[in-house]
Amino acid sequence: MKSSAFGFKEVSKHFQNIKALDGISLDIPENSIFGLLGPNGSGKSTLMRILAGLIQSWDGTLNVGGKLRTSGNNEHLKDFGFLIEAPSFYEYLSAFDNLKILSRLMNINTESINEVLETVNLTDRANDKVKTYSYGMKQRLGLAQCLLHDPQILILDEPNNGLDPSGIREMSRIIHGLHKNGKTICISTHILSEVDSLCTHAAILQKGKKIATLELDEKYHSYTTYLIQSDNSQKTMDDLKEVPEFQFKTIDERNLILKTKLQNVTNLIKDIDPNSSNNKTITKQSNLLEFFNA
Amino acid sequence: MLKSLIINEIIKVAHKKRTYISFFLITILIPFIVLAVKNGGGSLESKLYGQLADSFIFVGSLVNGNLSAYIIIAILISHMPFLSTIVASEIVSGEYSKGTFRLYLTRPVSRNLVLLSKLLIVLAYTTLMMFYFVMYTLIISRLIIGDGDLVVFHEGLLVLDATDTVWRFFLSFWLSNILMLTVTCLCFMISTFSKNSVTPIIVTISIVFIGTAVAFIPIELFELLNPYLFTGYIDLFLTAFHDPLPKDIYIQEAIVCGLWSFIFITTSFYHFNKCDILD
Repeated sequence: MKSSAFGFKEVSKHFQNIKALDGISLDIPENSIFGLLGPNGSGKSTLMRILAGLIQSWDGTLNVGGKLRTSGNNEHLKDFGFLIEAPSFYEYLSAFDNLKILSRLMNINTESINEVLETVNLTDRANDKVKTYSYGMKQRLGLAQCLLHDPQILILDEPNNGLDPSGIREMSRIIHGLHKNGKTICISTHILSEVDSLCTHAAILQKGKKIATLELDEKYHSYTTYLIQSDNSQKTMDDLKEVPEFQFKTIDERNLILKTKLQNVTNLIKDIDPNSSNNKTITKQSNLLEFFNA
Repeated sequence: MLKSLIINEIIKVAHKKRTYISFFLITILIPFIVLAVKNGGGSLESKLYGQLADSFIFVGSLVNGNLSAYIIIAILISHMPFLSTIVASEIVSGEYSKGTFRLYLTRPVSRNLVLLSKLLIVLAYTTLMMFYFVMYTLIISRLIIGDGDLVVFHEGLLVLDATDTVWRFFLSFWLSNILMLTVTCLCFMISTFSKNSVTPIIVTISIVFIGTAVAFIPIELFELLNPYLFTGYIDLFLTAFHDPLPKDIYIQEAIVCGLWSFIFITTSFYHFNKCDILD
């Protein structure tokens, strides 16, 4: 088990009568890509905003590098780089000037600005005003500002939000590169496949509570999850129970989760009962699906 | 760190078009008014001093650059609170609404220093704008109409020598600037609460409007309240052209405006330190 880069202990936050976070405890291992997963409103962004010092009053403690931090204490920010939600810049300034403004807050030289612009492939457009940028370019600039002071820990809140497929690929390439260089990266998302392809660890939040944490290791990737949608889940399960490698979990009377280490499952299922009146649609899913529907 | 934050704020403010609106308006408007004063000098003179002409013989004209500047400042001063809110209204609320605080405040920098840098910038902006307004008006008036003694009403007719006017205009700038700085602090405070830049302007101007009404409506209750309201000093700059100068009232203005500014600034800092950045 790797040592913890940072962690939350019993962190809670209320917005008037709404409990946004309810006693979350979580440790993010060093040099991991940690996926914070959950549906909208599950508390992912709130947790990240607490870490970023954007939310000032909350209960519980943060553990950063062995030091405990409480509400109102933002000294730990120098160790972190944040990309919180949609990228927002001073649109009337160029990318370079935006980064220059941020660099003044941490005594960072111009060379570092050029380096991070190169990392995110924006050197050619560095002197163009940000208002002329596409969403994907702004997202990459968001990552650049996050890397500006070379922090060991990066917090990325939905980094692929709004990106087209090539933008997502580019972002994943950059994140993997940063991970290889020893950074600890925490990503929040509600897209399960994103966590599958990017992350080494994950935690699932629901309604402000942590419902699961898991390591996305070889064992995790050794099986595949399918969602079988049919007229009758129970009948589907009865039809397929003869295959010992199949494990089932019922979501509702029409949806069934199937876990297996076997390959070519779609054809296998069709071969078992080709004339069944119980119409089935089989789709490959993230292995996280079963936790998401806990 | 404060120096870096101030440089950042200067860059941000300097790149926004709205920053130049007040300077642009003053630059364009004042020469037009001065030219109008020059062309309508005779009619203005008879309206101002018409009845006095029965008792005095005026040799030459009373209308000169100093009188023009005095009249223009007196007329336009009540509109200056609006111009003084242009930058203050947006400097904090603009960062909330555009989400740029998510970049800025996730750095290890104290919120107090961030807000202080913004406050210093808006105070400097208001001072610069007021200085430009008074001095530009005086210079343009003198260039177009010419120099001369300034005749004002104060306990009768007071004739101020031409050489005695420049420092008085400078004093009038400071007297009006103290009030405008308080208006700026009010707008700045509302900006820390608001998520858009229009609300601070509307609320500030409404408060100034109501306060000015209190200052000018002769009701006993209002007369009791007026010395304690910063808006009660909106026309105090006129006393810079009195002889002797009412120094007690200047001290009173400094205390009242200072206290109100302190309340507005303290509230701003308290709220900004406590608030969650959720946008």
